[in-house]
Amino acid sequence: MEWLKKNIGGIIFNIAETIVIFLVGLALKLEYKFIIMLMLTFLISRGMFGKALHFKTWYRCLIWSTLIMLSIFVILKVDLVISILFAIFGALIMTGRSDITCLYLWKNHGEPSKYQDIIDFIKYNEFDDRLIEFEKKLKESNTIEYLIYKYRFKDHKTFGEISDLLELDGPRVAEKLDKVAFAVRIYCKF
Amino acid sequence: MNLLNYLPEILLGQIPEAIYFALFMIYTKRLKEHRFKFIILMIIEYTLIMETLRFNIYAHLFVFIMTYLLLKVLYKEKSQIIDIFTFGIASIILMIISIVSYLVIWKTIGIYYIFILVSRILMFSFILVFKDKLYKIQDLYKKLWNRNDKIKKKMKSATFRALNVVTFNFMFFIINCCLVFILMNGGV
Repeated sequence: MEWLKKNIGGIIFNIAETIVIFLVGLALKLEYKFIIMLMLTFLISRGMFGKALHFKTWYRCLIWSTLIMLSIFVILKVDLVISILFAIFGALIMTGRSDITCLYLWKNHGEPSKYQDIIDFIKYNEFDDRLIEFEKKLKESNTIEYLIYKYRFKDHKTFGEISDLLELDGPRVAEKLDKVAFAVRIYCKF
Repeated sequence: MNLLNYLPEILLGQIPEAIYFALFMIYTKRLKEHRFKFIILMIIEYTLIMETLRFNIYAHLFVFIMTYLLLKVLYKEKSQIIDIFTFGIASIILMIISIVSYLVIWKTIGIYYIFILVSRILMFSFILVFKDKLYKIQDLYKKLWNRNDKIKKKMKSATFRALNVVTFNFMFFIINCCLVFILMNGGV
């Protein structure tokens, strides 16, 4: 009961939104079964991809959801298979799954990585006492940060790969990597 | 029908369009490596798809998918999902150029080769004029695509993505309308 009280506004809004979208489909003279099928395809795909993006205001949510579904309904006038594919694609775009994961790794105009000094240091001083000590301490104090350090500087993995391996968002990996980079520079004094 | 019948269409239509798309992506993404390879593969891919599925909406769908895969193979992580929308922008520009050329040249002068020539000149002029500014498209995507509440942005990530999805879907609908129009008129 408490849950219902808390979420009643959201439930009413979702029902109203579904009705509006359904009416848009009907206005385009589409068959009931196709309208329902496309709506379900979008909804289920979005749920399966996870980390759905939400609009901050209800009217934005209503306007954009209606427009997205309208554009998918319009594609249905072209081809059923394409409209299903576009519903899945649209759903993917509206989730965190389509985030640009390697955003912080991109180098512009062939500039070297901002961690190039660390990469070079590790490459040529693999058995340096300070470095070995740093790695040991990092491993003991913070496993995630140690893994980020290892993946990036020793295994030369990309941000995308690190993000996938550790199930962390790109910005979070970048933030932690900056912290580790700062620590290794200070500890190893270079 | 032998290959000679298709030759003008391939030489004047598909190859220049493939080069235009490749250059658009190269300048937008500031690609430095494998440029020549990318252009050649784009020509092969585009021509094969367009010739296999003539005047078919699936051809355009496959071109989008194949170009994305091509970028992924050649440039690995530098290729992102936003490239599909960048390619979509290139398609919209090409569509506008073709429609304007059609209305101005084909409808007035009525000579096919002049229409093709003018549209190709406009297409490559666009690339030449804007080649140093095209990277701003990618920068805009990089800035607005990911959700980050810490930075104040002109447009929210969800709104930006929804706008892209809607534009992309409507673009396909318009491409289909153009194809139907061409087929109804017995091909341009």
